Amino acid sequence: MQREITKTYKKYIRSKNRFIAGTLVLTLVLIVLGISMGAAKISFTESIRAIWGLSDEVNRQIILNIRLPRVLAAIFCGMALSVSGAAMQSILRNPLGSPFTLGISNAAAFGAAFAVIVFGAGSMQSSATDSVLYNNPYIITISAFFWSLVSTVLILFVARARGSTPENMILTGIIAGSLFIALTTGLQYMADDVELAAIVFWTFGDLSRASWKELIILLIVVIPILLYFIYNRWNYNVLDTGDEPAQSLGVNVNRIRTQGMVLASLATAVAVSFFGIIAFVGLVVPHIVRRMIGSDERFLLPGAALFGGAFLLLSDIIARSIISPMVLPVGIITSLIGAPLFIILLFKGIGKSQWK
Amino acid sequence: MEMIDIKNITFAYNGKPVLKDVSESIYPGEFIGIIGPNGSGKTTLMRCMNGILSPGQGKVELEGKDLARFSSNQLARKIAYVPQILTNVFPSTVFDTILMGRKPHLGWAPTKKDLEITAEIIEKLDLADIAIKDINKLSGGQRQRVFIGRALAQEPKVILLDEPTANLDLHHQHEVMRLLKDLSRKEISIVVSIHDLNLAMQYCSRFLLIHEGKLEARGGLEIFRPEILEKVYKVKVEIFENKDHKYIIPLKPLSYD
Repeated sequence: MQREITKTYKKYIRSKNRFIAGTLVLTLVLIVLGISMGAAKISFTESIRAIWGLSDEVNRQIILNIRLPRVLAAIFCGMALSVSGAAMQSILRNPLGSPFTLGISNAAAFGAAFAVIVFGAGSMQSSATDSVLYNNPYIITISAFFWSLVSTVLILFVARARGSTPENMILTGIIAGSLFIALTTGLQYMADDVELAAIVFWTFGDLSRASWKELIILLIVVIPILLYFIYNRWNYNVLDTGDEPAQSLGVNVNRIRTQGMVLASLATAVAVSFFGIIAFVGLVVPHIVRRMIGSDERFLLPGAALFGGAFLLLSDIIARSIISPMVLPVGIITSLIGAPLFIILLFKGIGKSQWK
Repeated sequence: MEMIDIKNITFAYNGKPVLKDVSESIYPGEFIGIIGPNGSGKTTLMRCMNGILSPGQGKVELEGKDLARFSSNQLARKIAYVPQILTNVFPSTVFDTILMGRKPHLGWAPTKKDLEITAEIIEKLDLADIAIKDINKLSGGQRQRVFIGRALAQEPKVILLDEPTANLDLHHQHEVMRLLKDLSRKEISIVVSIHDLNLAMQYCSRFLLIHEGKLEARGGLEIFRPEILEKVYKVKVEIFENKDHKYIIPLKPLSYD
């Protein structure tokens, strides 16, 4: 009898592991696709040769300095947003939690607007692939990042002063968000046409801003945060059943919640400051994965991270190819394919078999 | 030797005293019913006993050691707590929920032993058929058994339960109380807060009656006397007794005189 129970449970767990393994394979396929696709026709074998330096200089440049960073940026940006979203939903015990719940995206957008207007970082120039070029993109990134952190510190401050209950966190996030929207609107009102276009353009999430420099910073921040969340998977599982039960199972609820929020905000802030606002991934990818493998954080956190990476990479491949040679901002695609995908899952009831 | 020793504890929420100088000792294998009107301090007393709240004055000792000196994991291996309302926003299966009780013992991942303990509890509590079912879709009685199962998975010395029979029908009320009584026979101390006095009287081995933050009475069935109950609950009662049982018949609230 006991053996039966354990066997059934192990079988149930195996289906979750299969999903994670499948997503990993999908990611590898998408990486290959992402590297060999684009305006310059470079075959897959040629791409691989280029990575090992066996190809001609032009191909090497295209693969190593344009496509590879972009593909990796898509994966890690998607991972950062999805794992932050999954963690946030658990931390706030709210299915509407996302990396943007705490107002990070609004704060970053304000930071970008601030840099454009105050430091004059945006100017306009038309080219075939980009309608706006920023004469000083680093100032914009730094400013966006700085203001994201201001928003995080605000929330941390409220958590310290009034306790880190989900209600406090969500309300503070909404208030911080509206505050930054108001400030951004104020700046936009004072801006001229060129500045206004620069501000609006920045908010479109776009991975073409990725180069090795950005990528390395992204990796340094995102990988430890990913590991932190996965390391704490049991704590999040227990937290899902409520604060008091979590405490009685030996979890330091305040610490887990505050650390989780700060790290999710940090990962989001880096992604958003570099690439603009990529909507939908952080909110919906965790829910797609929940529908597939359930809400056990042991599988949800790594599953959402992997699936989020694959999802953003796929979106970016579509964004690059749909009206090639023009490249759409990936933020548009994530919502366009994410929304129907989620609705299909909802109606088809995929994943219902998880709950007999 | 005492399992839990409550030594002159006082607790106040925002300056308003909730517990006033409460002392009590709880021994292994006891099944204690904490009774008293709404707002008398029952839940606060429980939260002080499991270390979620720390008393303003006095201290609570577990096996002779101050609760404050335990790490949260050490404590979770000794004391399990089943709060009153447990709702999950996200689904979780019966097996996973009970496995979470192993959390204080876990390293990186659950071992074979953890899975065995979980399966054993599932079998014992007759949850095998629903082991992979979402706990949000269970009946109140089943859910309560799952959370008692999770408490058992902690392999604790003491289990505290806040109104484990609230919202249950007659059958499940008795099922839960029976289960708890069986557990107390295995030298686990069980402490419940409970409103249904007749139910408590049928199963608990000892009672703590709390009134306005103080221990008004303690002891066995003999504490249920009309004058005490009328004072504490402000209800006129009659008490019937036969050779096995004692029953309280509430007649009317005193304010209706």
